Parts: sequence; C-alpha cells; structure tokens
Amino acid sequence: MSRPTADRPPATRGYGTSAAAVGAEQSANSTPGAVALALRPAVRMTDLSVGFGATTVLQDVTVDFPPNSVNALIGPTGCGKSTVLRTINRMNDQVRGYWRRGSVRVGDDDVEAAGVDPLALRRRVGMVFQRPNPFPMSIKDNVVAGVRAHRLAPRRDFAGIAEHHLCQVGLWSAVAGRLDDSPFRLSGGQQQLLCLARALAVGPEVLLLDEPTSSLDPISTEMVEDLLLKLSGDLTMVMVTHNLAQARRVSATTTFFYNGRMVESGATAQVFDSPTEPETVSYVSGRIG
Amino acid sequence: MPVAGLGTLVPPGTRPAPTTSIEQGASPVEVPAAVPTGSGDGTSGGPAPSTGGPAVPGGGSGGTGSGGSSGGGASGDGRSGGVGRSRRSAGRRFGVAERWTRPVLAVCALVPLLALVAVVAALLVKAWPVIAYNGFGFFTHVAWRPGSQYAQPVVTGGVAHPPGASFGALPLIAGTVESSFIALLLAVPVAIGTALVVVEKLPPRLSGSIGLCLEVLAGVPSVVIGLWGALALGPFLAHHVSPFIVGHIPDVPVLRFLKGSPGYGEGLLTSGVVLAVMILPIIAATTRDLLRQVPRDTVDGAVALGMTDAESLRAVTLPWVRTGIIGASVLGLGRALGETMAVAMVSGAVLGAVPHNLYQTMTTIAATIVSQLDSAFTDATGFFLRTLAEAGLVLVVITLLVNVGARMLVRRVASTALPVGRGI
Repeated sequence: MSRPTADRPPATRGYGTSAAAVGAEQSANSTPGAVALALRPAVRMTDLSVGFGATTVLQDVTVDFPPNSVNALIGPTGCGKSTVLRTINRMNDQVRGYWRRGSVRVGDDDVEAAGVDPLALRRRVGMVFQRPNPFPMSIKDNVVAGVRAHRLAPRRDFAGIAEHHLCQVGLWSAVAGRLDDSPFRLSGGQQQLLCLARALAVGPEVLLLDEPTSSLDPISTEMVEDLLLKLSGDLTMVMVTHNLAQARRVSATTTFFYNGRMVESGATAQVFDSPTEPETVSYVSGRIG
Repeated sequence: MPVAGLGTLVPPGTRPAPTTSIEQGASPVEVPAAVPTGSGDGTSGGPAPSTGGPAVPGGGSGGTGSGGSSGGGASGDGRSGGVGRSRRSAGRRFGVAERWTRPVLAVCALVPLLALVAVVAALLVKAWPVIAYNGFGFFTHVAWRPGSQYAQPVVTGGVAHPPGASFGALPLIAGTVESSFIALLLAVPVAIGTALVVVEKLPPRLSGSIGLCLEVLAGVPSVVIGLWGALALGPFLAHHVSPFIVGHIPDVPVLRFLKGSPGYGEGLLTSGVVLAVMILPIIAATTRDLLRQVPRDTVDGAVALGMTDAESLRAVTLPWVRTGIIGASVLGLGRALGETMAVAMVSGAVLGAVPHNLYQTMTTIAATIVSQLDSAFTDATGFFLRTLAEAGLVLVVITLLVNVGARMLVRRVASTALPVGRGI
C-alpha cells in the first residue's frame, strides 16, 4: 500500500498559467474546496464498496493514487476496474440501482459530498475511453467542446486553445490544415489523441483512462504511451489496462484487482517483480485472468 | 510510504515465461480434437450427396437459397452427424427450387417498378388531352367550374368538354402544401421530444408502453382520426385555441396569416393538427430507433466532460441523428401530402378559394379527388375525370419533389462520413 507524498508542490497546468492562477480564477465562482483541490491533486479511496442493485461489484477497496503519476489498474475482465474509474468521476450516477459505501476523495473532497456538483467534478476529473469517441462536430470544435460547455474561455480564444492542446498531444501537424473537417476521417489513433486533447483542454487535475490503447495499433499505442509519460509530470492519471507490458512501461504504481477486491497496490516494479499476494503472483505471471 | 517507482520502467518484451507455456499447454488439447473431424469429413462426406439428393425438394422448396441450405444442413445432422454438411448443400445448389429462385426473385424485384410505371402511365394517358387544354392556368387559376353537365358538349382544340368548364388547381395545391407544412411544423418537435424521453429518460417498462401507444396511434384508421377532428378537435380549436392565437398575435405582415375569424372548426388549422397527429407516430418511432443507435460511448464522453443533458443533446445526440430525422420527417410529410379521408372530413372541402388565414376552410388535392369523383363520373365528355387525373399527377410530382429535395438535403448535411455540426 502506498501513500501519496505529503505537501507536494502544486503542478503548473492550464493555458500557460499556473495552477494557482487557475485556482484563484475559479474561487470567484465555485466552491471554496476548489482551491484546496488544486493543491492536493490525488485520489483516495477508503473502504469503498460499490454495487448495482443486489450485485456487489467492489468490496472494501482502500487505495491511494499519488499525484502527478500514471497509476495502472490491472486485473481480469469483470473485476471492477472500470467501476473504480466511473466511481471517481461519478459516471455511475446515471446507472439504475447504483449504490456506494465508503469514500472516494479527489484531493480533500469526497466526490459525493453534499454540494459537490458532478458537472464541476467532471471538469476536474477527465476521462478517456476504450474506443475513440469523437463528437459529431469539427476537429476544432471537438477539442474545445468542454471549454465551451464550462465557459472556461471566450469564443475568440477557442482557436488558440485548440491549437495548444492539439500540439500538446502531438496531433497539430496532422490536422492543422483541416480543423473544420469531420474527426471521423482521422485514423483510430489520431481520433484517440483528439479525445485526449479534448479531455486535457478543460484543465483536469485527474485523468481517468479506461484501456485507452486497447483498440489502437502498436504505433498509435506508442504515441499515446509517450504522451501519458510526458503528461505524468504534472497530471494524476488512473489507467485501466489489460496490457501488463503497458502497465510496466508507463505506470508508477500498479493496483491489482481480483473479483471486486483490491488485492495488491504499490510501486509498479514491486507489484510485478516481487508481489506479495499469491493472486498477484499468478496474474502477473499469466496463470490467471 | 512515498512511491519511489516512478523511474523504474521495465523494458518492453520481458513477459514472464509461464504465459507461453500455458498457451502451448492448451493447444495440444485442441489439435487432436480437430484432426478426426477433418478426416471424418473426407470419408463420410463422399457418399453423402447421393443420399441427400432426393431429400432436397422437401426441405428447400419453400425458401430462398439460404433457407434451403440450412434445411439441408439440419437433415444432414440427423443422418450422418452433420459432417458432410458443406458438401451436401453444394450439391443441392442446382435443384428444382434453385432453378426457379432467380426468375422469381427477378419478378419480385420488378414489381415495385412496374407498379409505379402502371400508376403514373395510367394517370398520364387519362390526363394527357386536358393537360394542354388546362394549360399553365391549371396552376394559377382559382375557379373550379365543372361547367353545365346537361348542355351540349363543346369541342375546343380537339377536347370535348361541357360548356363553361374551367378548372384551376391553385387552391388545392396551396391547401395541400400548407396543411402538410403545418403538420410537419407541429409534429417534428413533438416527435423528437417523445423519442428523446422514451429513449433517454423513461424506465424500460414505461418507455415500452409509450412505444406501444405510438404503434397503436399509427394504426388508427385515418377515418377515425378524421371523425375525432370533426367532432371534437375542430370545435375545441375554434372555441378555445384559435381565439387565443388571434388575440395574442401582433398585426404585422407575416404573422397576419394567423389572424382572422376563428371559424367553426373546419379548415386549415384543424387539418394541420389532424395531419400532425397522424404523422407524429411515424416520425417519433423512427427517431426513437435512430436515437437507440447513437453510440453509448460518445454520449458517455459528453457526460464525462461535464456536459449537462441539454449540452450533450445538442453537441452529440441530435447531430448524430440529424440526417435520419430529416428522412423520418419526409416520410411523415409524404403521408401528410397524400392523406385523404381525414382532411376531407375536417378541411371544409371548400373549392375555389386559397385560404388566406389559418382558420379558413380549404381543401387538398387528395380530398378534392375523393370528394369530386362522383360528380366527375357524371360528365359524359370525361373532361372532369381527366382533370382529376391531372390533379393526381400533380400530387405525385409534389411528393416526388419532396423526396428529391430531402435526398439533396441529407447529402448536403452528411457530406462527410458523419454529420459535422457547429457544436454547442
């Protein structure tokens, strides 16, 4: 079990401004907790149990994800990894019969505390999906879709924001000449990078990645992995992956789930090379899952 | 405990060895199982066609190619364990049923074309002599005069007609287009709303029962809806809705169409509402099916970005189904343009005047044809009947134009792989 480093200095993020500036800007029109959250960008789950109706999907999960790193969630299909992600950004709220015990904290705030607006939470906690899911609008509008929805910038800044984040994900040179075209003409890898740019454009503190490369070819996978490593300097990421080699390549910590329980969590090298739990030993060596 | 593993990246390709040993351990189990199957195919598959041949007509006569081959497979299962299935169906491909499949399918494919040609040709042949006689005035004149049926017919330009006969179809055409347009204006937003609620908001049981209501409404005979329009809706509109609209609309040039005497419940507004009720289930059911095809992942992406329901609707869901909704609307419009009985019952069926406000009595091409057909048969010269045929042709052309226009609109909107919108 790993604990996040205490009082780590805040990362600089946002549109060329520091996180402190972003926080100050937001404190004017959002909850006071937003400033504190900007200082402690990490995710903590304490005795978390989640289920749908009579089914329990997660049981008594306690795990911390340190800030500014890639945190891999591994485990066989159906063990509750995606449910963990969707609990963090409250995407499970829409599901009928969803219930939860225990707490999930982003920074210092329980994500389901009274007064937490799920829409504002999802601006701070972005998400990238298994398959690229661009919106049916132009490439440029895709990047700024969240910026527009949250009114983070005036319309005249949209072009600059789009360019900045397309550069950030390494897509600018490929799409610079066709920003007004449909994103559905892009390759799968380019579409996924576009979705990453869209998620990054709202300046999230935490990024959830649900098997972000499982539908991509090896070259695109490498591009996405390089990008995640580059981003890990100042963004907390929680990534579900079935690709153990990818978890070793990219992640700082690895958490192993099995049958809805958190079996083992720690530094990636430790989980893969000297796991302590027998199930982890079996899974990382390929005997189960 | 602080995490110290940030820099310890393991080089790719160092997968633990046990994985491969498990894969190898699994394959020997499959291979021996596959080998006897293959050899069995070779031995028992050979004589199979000779025994399977006579059994063919019973199994395959009723169906097309695919049905026949699956039937053969089933009978093969019963005799020799299904091993020679592919060989047997290959042998049956030249059976009696198969010989007739192609010509029968060719006839089936031609029937729609022949039906269309037969209808248009009959109208054209019937109407041809009077098209020249009525001329372009048919589209601009308002008067609808069958002439004196009891006087001696006169011949003008080789066309015999009762003296004084003069037909102008402008009120019919205007009434058709106007009432259908009102119906579309009312039905499309409501239908989209219904479909959205059914797909996105309601629990499955409730949305199922609303879906059932849509199907029942679509199946109610138009004469029943017309009766409802004449008995209940028309008076209600005339007493409660129309006076309200008239009282609250400013007297400016375009909106003046909405002002006037509310009338007695027969006319353009009632026709439009009745038509809207009739095309609502068509558009709503189609839109509902379209909305169910919007990928869950894409909508989730909008939600995960922190969009509200309304924002994700405008950014993702509606653009995704936009071309389909245009198609569904045209389907509804086609129905509205051609709807006869309900409109004939609530329009007032008044000939000879273009309605110049929402509440005036009017008529449509379809309603006129059905209401005038009896009189037309009494015209010994056939001139009246031929004119109705010409009106029918005009209706065909209008619906054709609507469909062509919709296709062009869809092509323009969907010029890329998927619709490109302007976003929120």
